[in-house]
Formats: sequence, C-alpha cells, structure tokens
Amino acid sequence: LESPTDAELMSRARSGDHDAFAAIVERYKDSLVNYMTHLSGSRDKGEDVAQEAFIRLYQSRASYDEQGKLAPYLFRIATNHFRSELRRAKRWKLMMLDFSSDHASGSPTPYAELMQSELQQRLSAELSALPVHYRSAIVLRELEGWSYDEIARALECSTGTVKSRINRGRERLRQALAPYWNGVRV
Amino acid sequence: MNDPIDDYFSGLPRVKASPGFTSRVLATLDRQNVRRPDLRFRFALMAALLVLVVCSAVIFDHRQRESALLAEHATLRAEIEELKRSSADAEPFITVGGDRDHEFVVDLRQVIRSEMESRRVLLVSDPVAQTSF
Repeated sequence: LESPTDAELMSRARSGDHDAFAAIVERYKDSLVNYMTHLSGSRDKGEDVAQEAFIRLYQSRASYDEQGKLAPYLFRIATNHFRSELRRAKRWKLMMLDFSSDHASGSPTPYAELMQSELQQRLSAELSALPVHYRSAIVLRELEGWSYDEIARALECSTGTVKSRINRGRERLRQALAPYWNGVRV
Repeated sequence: MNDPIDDYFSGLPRVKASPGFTSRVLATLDRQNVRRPDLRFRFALMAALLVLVVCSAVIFDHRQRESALLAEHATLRAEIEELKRSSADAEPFITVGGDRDHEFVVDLRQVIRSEMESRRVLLVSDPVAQTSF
C-alpha cells in the first residue's frame, strides 16, 4: 500500500485530521531534529525548535500551498524560528551585559556527549561558530543531502546564493580545521 | 581529489528525535486548541465588536444632535410666541421727544391714514399716474 503524499496528509490535517498531522510529524521529525541540532549545536535546543516548527506548521496549515513541497516549507519555518530565537537571545544578552554569557541560548554548546572523537567535536564547534546563513546551507547540504534547489526554497534565496554560502562556509571550516588537517580522518 | 571535509561531515553523528516527540507535539497542539478558539472565529468576533462599537457611537452622536436641535427648535418657537404676544400688545406710537411735563408722540395710524388719502388724491388728479396704476 502506497503511503500518502505530503500534500494529501496536509489536506487531511487541514480538515482537522490529527492522525494525518501525526504522520507528518513522524515523517520529518528525525531529519528536522538532526538539522536543528547541528544548526543550534544543542540537542535540547534542536528538539525545542523542531517542536515549535511543527506547531507553527499546524497553525498555518490553512495557508499552506506548496504543491507537495512540504519539507522546504517546514524547514523554512524552523530556520526562521531559530533565527528569531538567536536575535532574541542576543538582545537579552546585551541587556544582561554578559551576565549570563555561559547560558546555552546565546552561544550554542557542542553536544559533546554524542561526539566520538575530538575531531568531530572540533568540527561541531567550528560549525556552530559559522554565521547562521552559512551553517544552515551547509547542514542541509552535507548532513541532510538536500539539493541546491530544495535548500534555496527552504532558505528563501537563489540556488546561486546557496552554492556561494556553502563554498564560503566550507572554506572557513577548512581554514579553522587546518591544524587537524594532516591526513587525519574521522 | 577527495575533500577531507566531506569525511568530517560523514563522521558527524545523525541525531534522532527523542521518544515521545510526536506525542509531545500533539499534546501541545491539543492544549493550544482547548485554550485558543479558532483564529477565524476570533477575527469575526473582533470585527463584529468593532462594528457594534462604531454603530453605537454613530447612533449616540445622531441622538445627541437630534436632541440639541429639538431643544433649539423649542427655544425658537417660544421666542416667536413671545414676539407675537408683545407685538399684539404694542401701541403704534413713536415718542419723538418732549420734556418732563410734555411728551411729543406720533400716532402711526394717523400717518398711514393721511398717506393713503394723499395717494388717492394723486390718483384722481393725475391721468398718467392713473394709467400707470
């Protein structure tokens, strides 16, 4: 039996079918949590943002019209929410005059418990240090394996911009990881 | 040439959602649905309230203007009545002067009467005037 498409599930969710929406959550929760965890550098934060993204998707289900392209739409919601969270955290940090500088929300902490090697931890830390627009494009491309077109749709920019962001981000990572370079493999 | 950075990425762990993630999302939605009525219903309610407030304000303003006009109308009517009464009571005399013991008065009825008589004389004696009337 063929599983229903995203568009079919969203259509059912629009008419109040909770099971259809649960199926959407089941379908995308792992990739969204993975994306948000690598983007935020924190597993807890990643789960929180992913959860909020699903809630916002449900709330905006009436206006959803992407002809079956649900994943970019959902990831766009999550990315925008994460960006606004970052901005809020920065404002808060400024207000508190660095009083809470080691609070997780402002500068994401690496999820060290998941990392097997020092190199992985280093890569994760360097990834977290990249600007969000580089980071999001790199994570979607390198970890989620999305096409440039899908990334462009999710990040609301052109494919050229996506390619440029990925190249620049990778270059920065390459420079940051240069000391570890000498043929070391994970 | 193989870029070592690709190997780094492939070595990063893939994170999965924690158990119960879906049920937490659905529970949050249920709580919000119970607490918050449908957004469209809210907008409709707010629009209806707005229309009600605007209509009430318009009606209130209209009634205030109406009662002010009615009051003004009643005042004017009273003034007219008063004027009519005073003009009926008034005698057609004009005091033109005098002193402590005497008062010179012109009787307007007399003036009108003599004026009419002089016109009648003019009409009878002047044929041009006769034809023009």
